[in-house]
Amino acid sequence: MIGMNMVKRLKVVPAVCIAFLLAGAAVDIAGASGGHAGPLAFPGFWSLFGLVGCLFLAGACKLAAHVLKRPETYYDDDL
Amino acid sequence: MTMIFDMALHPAALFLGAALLLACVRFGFLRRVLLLGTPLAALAAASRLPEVFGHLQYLGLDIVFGRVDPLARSFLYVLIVFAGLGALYGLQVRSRTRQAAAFAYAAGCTGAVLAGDFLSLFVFWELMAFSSVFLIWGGSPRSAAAGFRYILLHAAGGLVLLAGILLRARSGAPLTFGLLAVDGMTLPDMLVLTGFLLNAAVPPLHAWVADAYPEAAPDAVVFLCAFTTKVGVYVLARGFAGLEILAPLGAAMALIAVGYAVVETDARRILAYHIVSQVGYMVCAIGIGTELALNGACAHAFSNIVNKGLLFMGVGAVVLQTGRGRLHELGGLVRLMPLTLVLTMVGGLAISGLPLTGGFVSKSMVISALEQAHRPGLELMLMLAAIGTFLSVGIKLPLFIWFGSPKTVYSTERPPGDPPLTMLLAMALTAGLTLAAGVFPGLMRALLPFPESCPVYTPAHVSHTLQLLAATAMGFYVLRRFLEPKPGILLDVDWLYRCGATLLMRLCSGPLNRLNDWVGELYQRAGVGPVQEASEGLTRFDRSGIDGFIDGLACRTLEAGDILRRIQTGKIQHYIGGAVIFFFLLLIIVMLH
Repeated sequence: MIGMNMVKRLKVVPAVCIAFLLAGAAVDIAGASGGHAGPLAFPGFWSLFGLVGCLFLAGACKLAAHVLKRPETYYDDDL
Repeated sequence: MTMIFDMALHPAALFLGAALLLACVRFGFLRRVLLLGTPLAALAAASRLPEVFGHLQYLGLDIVFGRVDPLARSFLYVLIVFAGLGALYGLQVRSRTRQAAAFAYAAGCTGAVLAGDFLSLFVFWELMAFSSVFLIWGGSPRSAAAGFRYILLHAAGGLVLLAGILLRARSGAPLTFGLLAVDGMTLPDMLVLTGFLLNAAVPPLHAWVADAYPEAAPDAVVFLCAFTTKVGVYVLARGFAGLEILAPLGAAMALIAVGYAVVETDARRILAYHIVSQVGYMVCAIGIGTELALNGACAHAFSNIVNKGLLFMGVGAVVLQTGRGRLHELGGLVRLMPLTLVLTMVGGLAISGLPLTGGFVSKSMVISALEQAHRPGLELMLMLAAIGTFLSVGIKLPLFIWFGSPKTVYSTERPPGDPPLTMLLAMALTAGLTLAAGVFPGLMRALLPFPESCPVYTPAHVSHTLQLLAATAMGFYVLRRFLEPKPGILLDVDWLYRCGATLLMRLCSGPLNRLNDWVGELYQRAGVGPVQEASEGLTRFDRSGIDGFIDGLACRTLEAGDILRRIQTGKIQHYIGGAVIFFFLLLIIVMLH
């Protein structure tokens, strides 16, 4: 919980992010797909990929950490 | 004489000479002159190096200590500049051992980059390994054990490399250090590749980074984070450019390591995993092997040396000032260490690839190379790794160190504050470098080895990067409670040799020891006992049988001899009397028959 008070105060974070995402989608619609083709060239693809990727990565890593996490003295106990 | 003159100009010789002086000189001013002057002198020497120098014929072998082509020159400049920044950061340090080891380490790295043949590469490779371990020792209380694990692993890697070199020499292949495995992978090439992959921390040979680096002292880890893995990238780029397996391996490496960083709680372990993750981008680009991809790999190596160095400097300052390094023990430093926050944030945003930083330029080059090579799968993997990078280093790290209320009480006698001026200056110069590379991409391009290039500030690249970063920030905002750091450590591949050794010891002292006792008992009962009894029986037989017979025979012979001796009196009348008796006895026998 510590550290989150600051985030709570920053109510502008989602607004700023959404503004960036909309601006990015607008640039995509204007035809700037880079060297991509197929789904990667869809307007707003990278916004969606960023959000889904973030949620997936956080979930998968937490799940892996559940299996791999040990107490901080884990190796010291063996020494 | 020319050889000696050539070698005197070798940047490695300058660093090595300075390291020897630093180990001996106690006078503070002279030490500071050496620390700051040597990188400048090495940079000046590097700018005047001929294409080939330090050529030596030894036992019929061509040894080339200096081969200065565009690839070597670009890495050389960046390593020397960063050695200078690292020296400035550690100017206040009083440990002569660490300062000397840092410059010996720099000598090993610059020597390895300039090596034109495998033998000189191996010499500098080992210098690098054995000097860097002194930077690990002397850090946290766990640094001694971590250092031993580090040197054992690197010594093993060095031996594998040496085996590859010797097998190459035996097969008659030239020892010139150039592109390998051109006509397919042979056993010597595989051994050389394994040695290189260990230094580049490619999984599953990566765990030494997160095991050893966080235990080193803050000034020492600044050198460590910049050198070994990047020299690993250099040798891969020179020896195995275009080796297909490296492309997926690099992308997987970027993802696996960033996954660890997302859930890790120790600030310096987070950064250590990010070294592995960012080297993944470089390894992937080396696997693609086009000129643009190799330029991207080099550019990303240069920007990563700077960005990661800056992050380690910032986090090192926090560790120095607070004595804490775990995110769940920090927080609330924004008012106490504001300048450190700003400078560290520059590193965090640069490594996340924010436009106007060096990280954006180098990542765009790698991504463009993947686009050109039509590898969307690898591109998506690296983009996913970029999300993890921003999540862990761009947001999580600064948020939980500097913001919120402190999780533990800091010292009131010596409250934490921004580090000494020289440290801040080193951080400011490093931040300036990454911003300069971002604002003026031409500066970075000028360093790259190949002419092939691509525009980086295209609307598509900028838009896609900003979308990715903004979406990640949104994701973090949603998951902020879920991602709070919790105490604990994460198991990695190093478990195999850390716990494996303990398990082996337990196995030896437990079941194997009992088995040994049982076998000993069995041997005693079934082997030694019967043999002893048989031996005693044979001894008895020998004494009473053999010895009795031999001794009896000897006694009888002696008695017979005695009788014969008595019969032989030496008097003629006795012999005549004896002959007469014998004659009469014979006559009686004849007459009776």
